[in-house]
This record gives sequence, structure tokens and C-alpha cells, in this order.
Amino acid sequence: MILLLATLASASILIEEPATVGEEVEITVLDDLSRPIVGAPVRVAHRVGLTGERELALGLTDARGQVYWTPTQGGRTQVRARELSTTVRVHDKTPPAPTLVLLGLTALTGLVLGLLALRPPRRRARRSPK
Amino acid sequence: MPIAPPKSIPLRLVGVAVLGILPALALTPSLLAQGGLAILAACSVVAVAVGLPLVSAERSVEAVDSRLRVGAEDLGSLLLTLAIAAAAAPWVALLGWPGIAIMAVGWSAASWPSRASWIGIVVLLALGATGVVVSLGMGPVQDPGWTLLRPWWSSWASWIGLTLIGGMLLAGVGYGGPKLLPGPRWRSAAACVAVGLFFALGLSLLHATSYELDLSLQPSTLTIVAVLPLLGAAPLMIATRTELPRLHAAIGLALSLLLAGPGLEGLPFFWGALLPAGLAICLILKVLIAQGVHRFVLGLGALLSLAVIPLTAPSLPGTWAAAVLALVPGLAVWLVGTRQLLVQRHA
Repeated sequence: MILLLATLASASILIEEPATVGEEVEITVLDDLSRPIVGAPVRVAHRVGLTGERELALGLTDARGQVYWTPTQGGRTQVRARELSTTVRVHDKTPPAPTLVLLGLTALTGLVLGLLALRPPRRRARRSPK
Repeated sequence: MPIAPPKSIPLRLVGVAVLGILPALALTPSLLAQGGLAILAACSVVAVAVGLPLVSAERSVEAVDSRLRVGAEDLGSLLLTLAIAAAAAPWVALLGWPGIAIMAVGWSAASWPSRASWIGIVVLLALGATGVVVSLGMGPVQDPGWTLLRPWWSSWASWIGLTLIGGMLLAGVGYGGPKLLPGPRWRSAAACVAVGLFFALGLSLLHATSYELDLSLQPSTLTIVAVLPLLGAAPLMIATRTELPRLHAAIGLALSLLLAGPGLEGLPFFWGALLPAGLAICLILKVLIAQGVHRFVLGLGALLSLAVIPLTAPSLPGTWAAAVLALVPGLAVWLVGTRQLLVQRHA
């Protein structure tokens, strides 16, 4: 298990990695003496700075400074607890289909147009004089 | 006076490559943040479904001996110059002095009197080197960041106007499309759209990877390395298009610097109002001299350009940015009007 450590002063948020959509992960909030912070509100923010940014409250940390989170959305996600924050990459179980389809379609459009442009122009057939 | 394509084969290839650069440069991380790949996909649909037919219709009037046609072509070339300056401005502002130096070199090369083929070879080599650098840089990235690229269709109102104008520019609407390859005009336009889509896809992937690293919408070093040759090559569009390269190069350089400085705040107004209005005027001039179905297609194109203004609804810029933007209609009236007088005198 790899632990991701984010520190502000010495306080930190520890997250189980790798985080995957649909699989529960453990988030631990520690103070500057590495003691668990009890009752800290923990939130996660998806699409930070982008259209569709949203923040979800996960709840308060328990006596061990822990809270559990089951990601529902893949991508870069920011975990916030009090003044602390860290980012974690949530992996999708399958690649994001709409993004891949659009990527493929746009590349295909470029490819088809390129091939059409490369095709030599038709020569007009000359009519033989009768 | 019809615009002749460059004779040099490297310059023709460069023309195809650099005409695609413009929308790629304009597709900044902050624009991608509004809709992800949906923006690029919509842009490609507009380029194919609207841009290519419009370019073909524009071609129908290029042989017409009319002052209106000369005016429309001059206005189209000026709009192209302005669009290059506006697309480059955010990058010049980000880079500072190196950006200014690159623009100075690019615009100077564009005004080179002989338009020597070595310019084309140098630019092709630079673009090739960029491709290698970007490929090497992207190599270690096993899984590119998908967060920024995720299509966000529900926010269409914030980007559909810019997508319309981007798709039309990608195909070369307004300045009559590129005339770089033999055969029908749509052939060159299709090549430019293809190259432009690949440039834009590559830069989008770089922006997305950069966002994934630190949740920042600021371009990474790799993205900046990729953009540098594109910035330098972009002004060469006018070398392959216009018969007034020196004048346009001077205008382009001046506006690149002004838009990167005091005019930076006014860029949304330029893309959302000034450029669409200019394109609409350009197409309306061509409607007046076109015949048959081409007139209908050009008229629809003009309406679509005008529709961009309420769709984007840009806010009015501050005093300094407004002063810089006020130069645009002034330049258009001066440049097109002067040429009209000369044409009238020679007639």
C-alpha cells in the first residue's frame, strides 16, 4: 500500500493509493504531531477550476482521524480537510468512453480529410474530335 | 487582382501546416476547461459541414471582376492577420520578451520579399522538431489526464459561439480559403482542417497532462516548447496568402504586441464580436457578386457569423483594451478604402 502524504506545516492528509472508482479508500487526517484529528470535516472536489466543479462532503473523521470514501467519478480529485488539501488521482475501471470516442472521431475526421486532400485531383477526360 | 499561391513547394507545405495552427493556438487550457474535447469535436463538425462548403462558394466569386471582390479579399486577408495576432497574444503575454522576439522573427520572415523556399524548409524542420519533442515528452505518460478532456456538453452556451468561429477559421472562411494545392479549393481547405485538428489534438493532450500534474491551467514547460515554433510559424500564413505581406506583417507585429499588452483584456471581445462582424461583412460583400446557390450558401454563412455575437455575448473591455480594439475597424476602413481608391483609379 502506497501512502500519499500532503503536508501543510506538519499536518497531513493520508490517502490509500491507488484510488479507484467504486472501491472504498481510507482517508486519515493527522495534526502537526502526527496525532489523528477527530471531528474534522472532510470534503472532496472534482474538476477543480473547470466547468462542472463540485464539492462533496464525506463526513467527520472518527476517533482514529479517519473517514471512508468510495469515489464515484474518475480523474484528478482534491481532498480537503480544514485548512489542509491534497490531490489524488482516481482511476477509472474502464477508460472514459465518451472522451475516447470523441478523441477517436476527431482524429478520424482529420485522417479522412487528410487522405481526401492527398488524393490526386481527377483529370478531365478529353473528348476526341469526331 | 487574384491572389496567387506561392510557387515554392516547401512554402506550400508550410502554408498547409501553418493555416491549421491558428485554432490550435487559440484552444487555450482555459477554453478547454469550459467544455473539454466537446469544443474540438464541435469545431471539426463546423469546419467540415459549414467551412468547406463556404470556402467552395467563396471560390465561385474569385474570378469576378469587381471592386467588391477586391474589397472582400482585402478585408479577409486583414482579418486573417488580426486572427493570427489575437491567437498569438496570450502566448506572447505568457512568454514575455522571448515571445516578443519570436513574433518579431516570425512576422519579419513573413514579409521576406522573395518568400524564399528556405523559409519554408526552416519552418518545416522546426515543426518536425516540435513533433519529436512532444512525442518524446508524451512517451513517459502512460495514461494521459482525462479530467480536462472530458466532454462537457451541458455548458455548450459558453463555448458554442467560439466553436462556430473557430470551425470557420479552420477551413479558411473569410479570406477565401487556402490556395496551396492544385485541384479544387476545398482540397487545400481540407488539408488545412486535417493538419489543424491534429495540432489541436496534440496541444489538448499536452494541456490535459499539464492539468493532471498540478491542477493548474497554466501551460507546462513541454507545452511551451511545443508552442514556440508554432508561434514563429503562424505569421507565415500571410506570406502564402496575401499580396501585401510587408504591410500585413507590420500590422500583425504591432497588433500582436498591443493585444499581448494593453489589449489582452479585450481578446474575448475580439473573438466574440469584432472578428464575427468582420467575417459577416466579408461574406455579405461576396453575396452581392455571387450567383445562384453560392449566393444562398454565402448568405447563410454571413448569418451564422452574425449569430456568433449574441451567442458569445462578450462584455465590453476596459479603456486601454477598447482603445487597442478600436484600431481594428480603423485599420479595416483605411486598408480596404485605400485599395478601393487605387482600383477605381486604375479602372
